[in-house]
Amino acid sequence: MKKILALCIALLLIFAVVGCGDETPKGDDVLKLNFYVMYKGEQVKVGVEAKDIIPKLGEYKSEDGEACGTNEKDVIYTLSGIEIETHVSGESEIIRQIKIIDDSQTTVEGITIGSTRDEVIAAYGKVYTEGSSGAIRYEGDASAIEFHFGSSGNVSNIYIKRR
Amino acid sequence: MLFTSYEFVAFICLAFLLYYLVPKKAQWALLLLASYGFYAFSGLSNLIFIVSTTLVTWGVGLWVSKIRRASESYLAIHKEDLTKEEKKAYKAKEKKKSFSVLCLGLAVGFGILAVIKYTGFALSNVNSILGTFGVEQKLSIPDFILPLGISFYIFQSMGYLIDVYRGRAEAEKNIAKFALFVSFFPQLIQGPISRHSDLAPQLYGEHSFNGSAFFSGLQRMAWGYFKKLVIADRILVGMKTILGDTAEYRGAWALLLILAYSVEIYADFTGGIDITIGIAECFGIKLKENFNHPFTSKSTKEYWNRWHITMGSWFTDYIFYPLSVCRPMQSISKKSRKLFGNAIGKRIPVYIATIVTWFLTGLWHGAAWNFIVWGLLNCLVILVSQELEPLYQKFRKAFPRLSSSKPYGAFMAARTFLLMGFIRSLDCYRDVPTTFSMWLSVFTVGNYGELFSGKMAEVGFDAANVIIIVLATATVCLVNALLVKKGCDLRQSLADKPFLSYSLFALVIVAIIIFGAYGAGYDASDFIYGQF
Amino acid sequence: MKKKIIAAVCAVLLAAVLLFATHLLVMPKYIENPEGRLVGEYYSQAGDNDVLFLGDCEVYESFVPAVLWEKYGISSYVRGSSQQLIWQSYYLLEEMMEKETPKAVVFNVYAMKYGEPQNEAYNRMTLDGMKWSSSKVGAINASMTEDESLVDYVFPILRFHSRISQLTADDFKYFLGAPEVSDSGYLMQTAVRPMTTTRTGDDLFDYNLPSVSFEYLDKMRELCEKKGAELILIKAPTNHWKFWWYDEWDKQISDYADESGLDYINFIPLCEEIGIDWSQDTYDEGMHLNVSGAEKLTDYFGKMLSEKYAVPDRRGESELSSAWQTRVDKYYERKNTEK
Repeated sequence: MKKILALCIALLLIFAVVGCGDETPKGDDVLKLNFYVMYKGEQVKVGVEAKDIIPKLGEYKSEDGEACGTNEKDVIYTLSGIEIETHVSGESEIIRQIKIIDDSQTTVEGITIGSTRDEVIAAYGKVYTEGSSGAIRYEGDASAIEFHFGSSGNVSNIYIKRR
Repeated sequence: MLFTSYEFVAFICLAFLLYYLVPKKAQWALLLLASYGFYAFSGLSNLIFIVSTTLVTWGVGLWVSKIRRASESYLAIHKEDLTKEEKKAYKAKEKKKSFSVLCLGLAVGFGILAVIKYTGFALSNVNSILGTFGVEQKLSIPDFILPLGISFYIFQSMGYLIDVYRGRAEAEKNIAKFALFVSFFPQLIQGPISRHSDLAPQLYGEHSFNGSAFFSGLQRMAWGYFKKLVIADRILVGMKTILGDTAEYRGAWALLLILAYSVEIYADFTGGIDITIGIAECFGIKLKENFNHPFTSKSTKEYWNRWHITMGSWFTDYIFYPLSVCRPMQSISKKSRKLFGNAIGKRIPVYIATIVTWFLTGLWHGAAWNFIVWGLLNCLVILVSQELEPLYQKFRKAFPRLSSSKPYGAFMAARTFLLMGFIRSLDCYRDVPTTFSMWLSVFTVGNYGELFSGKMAEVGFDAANVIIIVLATATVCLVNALLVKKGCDLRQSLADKPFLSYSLFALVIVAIIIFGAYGAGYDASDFIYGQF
Repeated sequence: MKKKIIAAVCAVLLAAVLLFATHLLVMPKYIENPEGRLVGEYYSQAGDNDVLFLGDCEVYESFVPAVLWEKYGISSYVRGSSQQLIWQSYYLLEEMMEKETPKAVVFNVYAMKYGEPQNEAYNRMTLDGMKWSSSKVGAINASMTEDESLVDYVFPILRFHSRISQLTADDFKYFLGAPEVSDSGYLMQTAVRPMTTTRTGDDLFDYNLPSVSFEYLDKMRELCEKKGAELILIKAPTNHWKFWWYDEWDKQISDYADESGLDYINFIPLCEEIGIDWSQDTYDEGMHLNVSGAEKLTDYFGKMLSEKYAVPDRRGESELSSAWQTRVDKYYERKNTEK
């Protein structure tokens, strides 16, 4: 009887182990969950409806790039120090990319155009991927941030993109 | 595999073909192969649970049966040399032995279910209690993935064990055959929960191909797909929007959700059962009906005799009755009669058994408080109705014509429909306080005008969708009305009218393909009961 | 028993008729976005084309077969569609090569930037127009996104049945098909919207073109070799950040062409020589050419095809000439109507 009970308990424990799902990553594996910029006190992030953000940001210029064969298009809004690229599909216009274009704008972590590579790594950590262009990318949950370097070796452009 | 996936359609066509090509003796083996193949598709690691349930149940069943047989044989041999008291004592001892073995089997079976399904719920409640006492250290909650159909096959297996113990079913000696009973794929996702004595002879029997019977099964399947894809999945699109924003969609929207969900779950669940029963019919196997026109019910009690019948009868046979007549309950009954008098005293054991049964029924539906509250509310309505029965009787005596009139009957059915609808919405909102607040908003937020504005289209209930839902539902109501009126299977009455019968079948298939809410543009939705 | 068989046949026919009629009703007609009709229009001119153009919108809005015939006697077809991916171009070429023996195959390399299935809508616009063949199956399998399934291509009603509640007047008007929208695969654009942007393309994280694109380019090259056709790689002229052609990409194509002994013509730096005026010759602010720009480019390239690639002048062939005259007339009729 005791043996049977022991066997049953052992079986139950096996099920418990087998049935376990993946554990969510903790600690240093995930650096940041989402990247964004602060512009005129507003949090500007990717993946949200443009109409909820852009009207609050003040003056801008815009230009379109239409897609072939559909009614969709990309729109680039140029503001002071940043560009916001959206994708229009039907009624929805989602922010797809934020680009920092000059040193009047910094990232939340304090990096801007002209920062050095070491400063970027110091601010964002060592968990990044490197592209063939020499750019480095940090992956977040729903967004990623890329730092591109010019011939001087300093940051020439910063992009926050949807994942 | 979803019933409504291309893979399943290909799988079932192949299964039907092979079933009638293999030697009849091997048909059950093919069904076993198909069932395990179907199950493996949901994830190979899930097989460990159904295999271990099968092994343990089979072993325990044989053991219990062996004890009973040994006991019978012993008593037969020693018929003359044992006294009455000795025989009684021996029987009691053997019964205790087989009861212990049964409990072992039940502990393992329900233990597996409890661990996989309820550990998270239990621990999160413990954490809440710890939090209330200011304890910061929380228990970590494991993330178990619920294996497909676990609630159904464990209940079916445990029912089998209890039937063997009671002598109502023969223990199955062949483990492979027993494995088929546990895993028979059409009923894995949402039942019906079958009894071994009903299902086994059919499952293991030999079946010749019968064209009319096979076509009859296909008709039932087509009808199920029609209800599921054209009605249920179409309503689900709008329902999801309403549920996605409870701040925005209250009042009239809550009432719309309640009504829509009533239709949706009826179409989804009965549709799924039609597919299940239809598939089994195509294999020459007759499964028990699980629904009997539940929305014609005039009381909650009647409703639960017509809705998810096999679940209701399982809980009645294996929980309610044993609980009502067990020794501890009998002693409670005695004590309460002494303390509170006969009138109250005799109610207490029934009430306890009913409450426990409904608590467990709620818990079976899901490891969350909303399901428990759902179960207990059903229980409350039933018990209150029971208590008010003398009053109803007086009313019926005082107004015999009114109480037997059709309008009054319709009023009772409508009232039951709405009441069940409100309680059932705990399924949708998943959060008890939110559900109660939604119920209140139905009567306090006067936004019924919004239902006639463009907002309906925004939600997903645009004119075209509503027309399709209404027409399809009306068709189902018409067919149900014919079934109730004619009191017989419509398919039988069409059997000798091939032109009408085949054309109607073709039209149902065409309607499913054209008006079914499947594929891109709709979210693929599993049967609601697949999560239980 | 006989009664049952007849009844069954009647029921099947009833279902087939209803489903086919619904299929015709719900299939997208691509009236507002006629790019979806391009691939299917090829079959009326299949066979006897000396030059086949393959590619995406940069190709079907840049080269005018009517002009190639009129000026150089070159019989050609532009088999292109929106966001036509390289494997789709390959399988379309494979299909065409069953009936064609072209002297030259011209492939626009922009689509090489895509190494993975992209978008169901674009897939449909390219693939639904193909007639069933092993090439179509190959194209579908290579193109399907995760949510798509081959069954939905075999029975498009399974994909488009949801349109039953979204039908428009066009679905009924063009129930049996819409009129031809292209001229031998060229989609005419007559509007003039001058280029205003000076923006260039954004930096890329990785400038390497996907290896799978080169695999399909190899396959295209091998198929052309087998059929005795010259494969010419081109980059159509665009001047807009949305369709930016990076120097790094240009180099990779150039290197491939050198290694494979192919010609690669990047028309972007040749715009001035061709006479393209981005204030007049574009209908969408520099993304694509309008008819005026396309005619200039076609004239320029036609000379090349005629002189350098020795594509014959077939204006002397009466039957071919007659067929082409009809097409040329249609072309000018459309040009005059759409002005």
